[in-house]
Amino acid sequence: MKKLLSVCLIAVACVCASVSASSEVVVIVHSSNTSEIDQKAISKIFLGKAKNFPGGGSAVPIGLKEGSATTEEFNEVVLNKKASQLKSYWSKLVFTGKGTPPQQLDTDAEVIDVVKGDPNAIGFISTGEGVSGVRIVGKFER
Amino acid sequence: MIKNVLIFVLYVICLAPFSVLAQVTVNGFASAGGGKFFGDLEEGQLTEGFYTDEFDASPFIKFAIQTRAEVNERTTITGQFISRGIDDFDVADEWAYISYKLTDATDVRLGRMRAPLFMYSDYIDVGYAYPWIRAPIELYRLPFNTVEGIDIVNTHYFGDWDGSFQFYFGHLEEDAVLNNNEISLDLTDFGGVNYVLSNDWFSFRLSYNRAKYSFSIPEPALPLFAGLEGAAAGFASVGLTDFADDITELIDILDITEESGQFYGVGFTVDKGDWLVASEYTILDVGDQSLVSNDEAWYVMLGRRFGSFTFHVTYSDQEADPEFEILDLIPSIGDPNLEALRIGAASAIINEQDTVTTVGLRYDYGASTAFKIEASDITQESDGIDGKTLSFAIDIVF
Repeated sequence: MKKLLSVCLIAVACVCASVSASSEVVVIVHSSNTSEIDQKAISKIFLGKAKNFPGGGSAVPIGLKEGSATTEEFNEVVLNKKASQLKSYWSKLVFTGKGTPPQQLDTDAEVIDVVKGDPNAIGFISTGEGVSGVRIVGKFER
Repeated sequence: MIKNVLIFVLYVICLAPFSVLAQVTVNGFASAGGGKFFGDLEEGQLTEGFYTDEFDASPFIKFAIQTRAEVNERTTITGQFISRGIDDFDVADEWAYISYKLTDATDVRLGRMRAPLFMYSDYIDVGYAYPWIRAPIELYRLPFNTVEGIDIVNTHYFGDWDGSFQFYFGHLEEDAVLNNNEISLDLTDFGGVNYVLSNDWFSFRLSYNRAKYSFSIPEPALPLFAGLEGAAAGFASVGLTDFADDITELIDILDITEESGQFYGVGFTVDKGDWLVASEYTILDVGDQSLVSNDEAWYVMLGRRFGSFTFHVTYSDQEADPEFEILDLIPSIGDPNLEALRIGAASAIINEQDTVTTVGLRYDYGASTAFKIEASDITQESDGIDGKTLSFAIDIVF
């Protein structure tokens, strides 16, 4: 039992260490999208609970790959879920045929490209600096 | 096993040409592990959950592939094939349905689907989706979890809350396992409604289900029925028709033909990220006694997450309420053979009084992989089983 406890303490320490690195996450949509989109709306779209933007028009969420710092930050700050919580959330929907998680791209540049080309797309990237041709709807920090 | 793998591969290949027309996604999940019971068992006796006093892995092994094809904006096809160790790795077509989007909020589904009897029914095979190795077996006790027919699912939102209403109706005829015995079952007029209300961290569920059901007589009870029929014939042959009629009536009561059952469930989950609570309470109301009895079951689970680790404790309880008065139909004339039949009938009637306490640890060691270890203290009063189980499993989704 003592051993188990120390394993847990180490695990907790590791988690705390990985949390301390701070960064931001920026949510973008197509420049023609004028819908007012707050954190709740973003969360609903990325959890598959809303299929449309609050101002109308269907919404297609685009994610970054699992495990990236930006994805983890987005999950925790915007979706308010831990990675494992989110994974089991989606496994419930996927294996009952009720939904599929957002498409995942590898880099900020790929997300920006897709969002530029699709009026229905909404994505998140690691920084808003030097980004043009898309509309930034929110910046979130831990 | 090779045949099964071939079926999987063929299935995936056959779907490939469709991908030109439709957007096809392929997902899957797998579980593997093992467990052992520590305590006294009679030879060949199994605990609930299929533990024996030898280490066994097959009840923990599951492998499933699911494909979902979006045929057009309104129509999707979903198929899920699963191979389970507990079914000798026969491939079962677990889900196979066509879904039609009636409106943005309402879907109609037609085909073979999971019957929404319990809170975790929809993804009961997907170990990754919950903290336990298996959902509490004392509560998840019905010998079927599928329905073939139609359902309507309406999802609606108000503020931070979302609600989901489901109505289903259908039929089911298949082979199953009832209290570790193989039976064939036939359910008609099988349907129900359930409603789930949830927000970001809380979910509440109500469920009502009903069916007419017929089960084949489990093998261990066959000598009992033969004995009762023999006794009835014996009484009839010596002109004691009242006794013969009583025993014939008892046979009619005990056999599981055209019985009506209703099943009620209420449950909730709280998931605050760090803390996790889940509880369900269910009632099986069979109306008239047969080998199947009225019963109630519930559990409470409390969990705590520390990073990638989830500790959990669960207490579950099942209690059957058999009407043993029906055994008074066996005449009390001091005959040892009749008394033996009375005892045999009493033990064949489902009479469970089970409690289980489980402590477990889940470790999410990768993005889609979880390792679980669990220890349970089980008391199955009706079967005289009292002991501990230890088990572990790996759950994967892909």
